Amino acid sequence: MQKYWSVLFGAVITAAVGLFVVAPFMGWWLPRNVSSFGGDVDLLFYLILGITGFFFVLTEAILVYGIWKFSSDPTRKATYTHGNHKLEVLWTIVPAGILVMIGIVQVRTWENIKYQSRMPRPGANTQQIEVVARQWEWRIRYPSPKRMASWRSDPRLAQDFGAVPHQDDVHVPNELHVWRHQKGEEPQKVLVHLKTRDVLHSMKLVNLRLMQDAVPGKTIPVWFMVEEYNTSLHPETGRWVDGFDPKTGHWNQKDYVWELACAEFCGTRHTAMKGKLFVHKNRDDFLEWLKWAEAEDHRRTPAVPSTEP
Amino acid sequence: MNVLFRAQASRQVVVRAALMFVAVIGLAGCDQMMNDRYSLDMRYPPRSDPVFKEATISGEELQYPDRPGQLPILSLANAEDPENPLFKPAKAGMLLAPSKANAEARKNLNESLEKVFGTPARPKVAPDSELAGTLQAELQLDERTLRRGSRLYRIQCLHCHGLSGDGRGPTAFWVNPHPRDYRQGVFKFTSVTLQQSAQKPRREDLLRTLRQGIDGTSMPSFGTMTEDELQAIVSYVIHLSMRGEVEYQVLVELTQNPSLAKPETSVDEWIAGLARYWLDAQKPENEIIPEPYPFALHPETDAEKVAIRDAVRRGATFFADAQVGCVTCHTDYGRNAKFRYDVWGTLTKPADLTTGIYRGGRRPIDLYYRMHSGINGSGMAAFKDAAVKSGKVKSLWDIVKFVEILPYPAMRNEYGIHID
Repeated sequence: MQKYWSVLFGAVITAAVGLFVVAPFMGWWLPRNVSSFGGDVDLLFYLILGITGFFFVLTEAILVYGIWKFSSDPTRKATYTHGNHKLEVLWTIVPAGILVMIGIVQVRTWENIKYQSRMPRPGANTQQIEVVARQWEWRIRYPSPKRMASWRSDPRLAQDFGAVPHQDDVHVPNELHVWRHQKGEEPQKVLVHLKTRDVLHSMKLVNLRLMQDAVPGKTIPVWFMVEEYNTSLHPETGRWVDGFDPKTGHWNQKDYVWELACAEFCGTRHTAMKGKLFVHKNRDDFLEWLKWAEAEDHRRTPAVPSTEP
Repeated sequence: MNVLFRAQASRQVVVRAALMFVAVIGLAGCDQMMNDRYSLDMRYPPRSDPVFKEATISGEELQYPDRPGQLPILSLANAEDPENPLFKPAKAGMLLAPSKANAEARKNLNESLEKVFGTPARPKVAPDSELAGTLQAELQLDERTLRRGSRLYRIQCLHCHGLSGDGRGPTAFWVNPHPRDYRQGVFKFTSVTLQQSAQKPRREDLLRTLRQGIDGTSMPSFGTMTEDELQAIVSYVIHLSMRGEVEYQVLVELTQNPSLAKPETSVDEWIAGLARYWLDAQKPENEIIPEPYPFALHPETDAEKVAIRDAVRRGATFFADAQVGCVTCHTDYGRNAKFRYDVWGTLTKPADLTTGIYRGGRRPIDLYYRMHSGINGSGMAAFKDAAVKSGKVKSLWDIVKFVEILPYPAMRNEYGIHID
């Protein structure tokens, strides 16, 4: 009877492996990667998945085999062992070696994404955005178009954006707008000044393979560069709308809606703490949107109700 | 025997595990269904918490029963306590316990409320008159929209604002300032010229609050929801507010006069009156239309800069004028402001104008609205007439500009305003 436990164990492990095999075809796999360093992160993910997957299957197979083979004979005499020194050394050194190897392999990717010395400096060509997390939303601050123009003429003026708010800043909650970097051209890097106003939060942009905790009292720099875009001017509404697939020219494409989520449990409505990443085709498109957002955020005349023609 | 026993035991384990698995999966599905909407037999609970009516004293005269910004739980819980400072009508206004009202009258009130406003799962605004059609058309209070709004409200808003819009949902006790209680029918951030009870928000005002959130409070932005969803929530909030205010007004009368078996102003009359306020607020002629903005957004030339500097100085003079009274509440630009009671019985502080956080929005037009018509319920007065009469400013924009630069040291220097 006990023999059949091995069937259950075997079924579970087969199902687990099977799930991994079918997941990519069912759309359950990693969401679209659009950042410059996302490929490196995925590579590490696959490397670690491969190693752990191999050992998972190996150990489970031995387990299932062991249950099948040794459970059925109640008359068999047990043997006692006080350990095997060589074996123990082996199964300590091999995983340790693998761990060290993973540690060495990931250094370059980690350094590229997280080291402050590798971050873009505030200047003429860096997109700067302040993201302030709070329960339960992202309050996001942009420089005004005019301020951005002034950075081009004098990059020193870009230094104080992260530290000092300005009256002409543009505030848009829950919408992180940037523009795309086109491969082979001058890098268009984004520098985010990440803060939190209350508790710990974590900025997670899964399409960028990027995650960073926000810690009370600290301003944490985060950088990324996006290589695809998902936002375009919708001809019917006259608004800049995401979910746009540049290849087909259609909106409402799920693959092109990129979420900005909180990845650190921060209170009751943690799951509702969601924003969106809007990536514009180029600087000009972004500036067009920013001008619209500025006009809204510095509105001086009553808004025309949307119901009126 | 031994083997048999073991086989049985393992079979039991398998059965138990299977049952557990089914139970977990089953409950998960249940949870999904229950989250979707209210159950049909659910009713709006009759109001039982004390009704707070008009605070007429400033907070500093009291030993605070509650902490600033928090739900007035202690003060309201002890409504019967003669020592409760809020209960001394001569000083602090009135605190009225619904339980004192005539039981028959309360029952009738609940019945008529349900007849007109329905239940959480089937909300409606259906007064027994031709008003119903107007309300449904002009305020989008038709049943389909309200039903959708009710479901969205349950998911997104209820945990703070409560089932009946009482601002006492499960999370309400942990946020400061506490969530708005709609049942008084008072909304702070409006863009209408109407005053007092008639100062209802326009749909756009509520929509904007939903889209932008309220900076400086726990109200987040819901801007990633679709226009339709937000409109439905606005409709449902108006429904809750109307229902709550009718209940509030009738209860005020019934509790003040416990022998009364029937309110003098009936539920229907209250609905008619409040509906008129809500409808009036939506009319274009009651929207605040400011003078054209007189300044450059990004001043370049000297003339533009001088224009702003002069305006800021006029605004500063107006602000500092003791007769106008800005400084009475916003003492030391709000950095040293004193506590006072708002109409919900909460201790609040006038805004610190040096922080750059504006709950009603940071757009120039928002600041203009606040100064034009005040902030309903908070004690911030309407300054439109005072500004014109004083002759110190050309328009409210002068004061807006002055307030706008206060939080930014670089701009204060540029325009010669010294606050330290």
